[in-house]
Amino acid sequence: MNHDIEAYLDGALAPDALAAFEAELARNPALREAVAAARRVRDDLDWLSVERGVEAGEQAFWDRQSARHNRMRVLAFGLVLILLAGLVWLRQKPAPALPPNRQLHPGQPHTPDSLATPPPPNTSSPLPALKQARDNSRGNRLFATYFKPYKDATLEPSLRGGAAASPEEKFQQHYWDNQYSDALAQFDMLPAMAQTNDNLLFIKAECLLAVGKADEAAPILELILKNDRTRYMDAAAWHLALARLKLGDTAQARLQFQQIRQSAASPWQTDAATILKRIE
Amino acid sequence: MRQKLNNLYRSLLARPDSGRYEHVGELVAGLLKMETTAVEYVMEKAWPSVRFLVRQAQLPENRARDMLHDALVILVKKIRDNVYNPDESAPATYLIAIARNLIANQLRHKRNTPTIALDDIPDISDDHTQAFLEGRERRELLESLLRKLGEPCARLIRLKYIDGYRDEEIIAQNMTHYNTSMALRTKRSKCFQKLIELATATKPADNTINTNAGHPQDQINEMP
Repeated sequence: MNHDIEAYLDGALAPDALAAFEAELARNPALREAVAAARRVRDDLDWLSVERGVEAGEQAFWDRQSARHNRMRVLAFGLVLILLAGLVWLRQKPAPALPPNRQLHPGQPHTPDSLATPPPPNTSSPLPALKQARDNSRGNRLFATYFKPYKDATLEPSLRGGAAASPEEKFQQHYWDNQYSDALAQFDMLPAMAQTNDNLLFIKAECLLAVGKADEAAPILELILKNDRTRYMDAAAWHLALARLKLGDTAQARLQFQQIRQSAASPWQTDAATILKRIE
Repeated sequence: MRQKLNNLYRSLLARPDSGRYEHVGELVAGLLKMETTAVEYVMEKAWPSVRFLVRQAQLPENRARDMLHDALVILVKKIRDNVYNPDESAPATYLIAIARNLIANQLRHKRNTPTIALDDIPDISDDHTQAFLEGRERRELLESLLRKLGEPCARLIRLKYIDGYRDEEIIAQNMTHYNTSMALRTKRSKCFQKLIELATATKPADNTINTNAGHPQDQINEMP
């Protein structure tokens, strides 16, 4: 009969055996109870079967989750490394140098001293890149506040009546009329000799500053100051200091402003003192 | 927003071979056979929501894993018992609904029960969940009884009822030393009867055999 219970629950009994078993089941309460108990155990075994059956899939899922988290951790670690490397690189990177414009005066000898790369910014700060960005932003603001293209009576063009204007006069006229891009285009058409004239170079530098090209203007102004052959020395010094400020070269700009502050002849003595207070 | 992020997360990191289970029929068939990839797929789909529900219920985080396991077992059992209807809701959705019922069951004994809710999750019948929870102790007992049953009985029962092998496969692959189906069935039938007697004589709570019950066979016969 034991064998019959299993076969009965499996549905494996032959018709005549099934009929006999069911007849016995109807008569025998103990058999009914035994069948009920067998059903319960089989159902519990079925639950166990499912629990065991899904184990492999579950394990695969959790392994995958774990691998994914590990990948995320590696990725995060990599990002942190890249960030640190970036910070180290920024810390070691020198301040933007004034680009040497050695093609300006083909006839003139190189002047490496005047075009020397300025020293790197103060690297004692823990975040030099941030400091540099802050300096640039402040420099731009101060430049915008204080820069004004220099104009005085000596720069006013005096066109001769009836005669065609010379290239130099056209250049000056554009400058005087605030047409700085035209003035720069005109400068390139000047004779080579005129292009080495410090007065005209000063005007060119002013045009460059007016159109936002401080990086090109600064070497020209340095050259003019070194040559010391123009009547616009004070203005050149003032605007070179402003150009350096705009370029983020605060250390060099500070030195220049200090000189201007000490120069009783400079019309920008007070302005230089004010700017020094703000940048210090 | 959270659901969208979860979807994005899943779409970026989903298994590359999961395409076939996008068809509900394939997934249900895979779950019925307890295929590793099918189980993995449905867990992948349901896991973020189950974890979210567990957090919402303010249960410990590590309970989420247990909840997912229990819900998965119930889902597969429902598929096996042919009471799951894939037309009503997709397996992953159904799995989440089961997990929600399990969580709700856990919260029943707590004061200040937090509300657990998730959009688009249907209410489902609780029969299997109750059977699963009520039978937990009994199944633990059954496992210990199988160990007590010893070999070869435990093996014969495991091969058929837990591992799901047919008698022909057991004979063909020489999994036991029985050479004929008849010998195998006769032996297993006796073993099974012994297991029922042990189970009937043992209380689930204390996991000990009732020694006052006399011979297990007698006890079965004495039942009204």
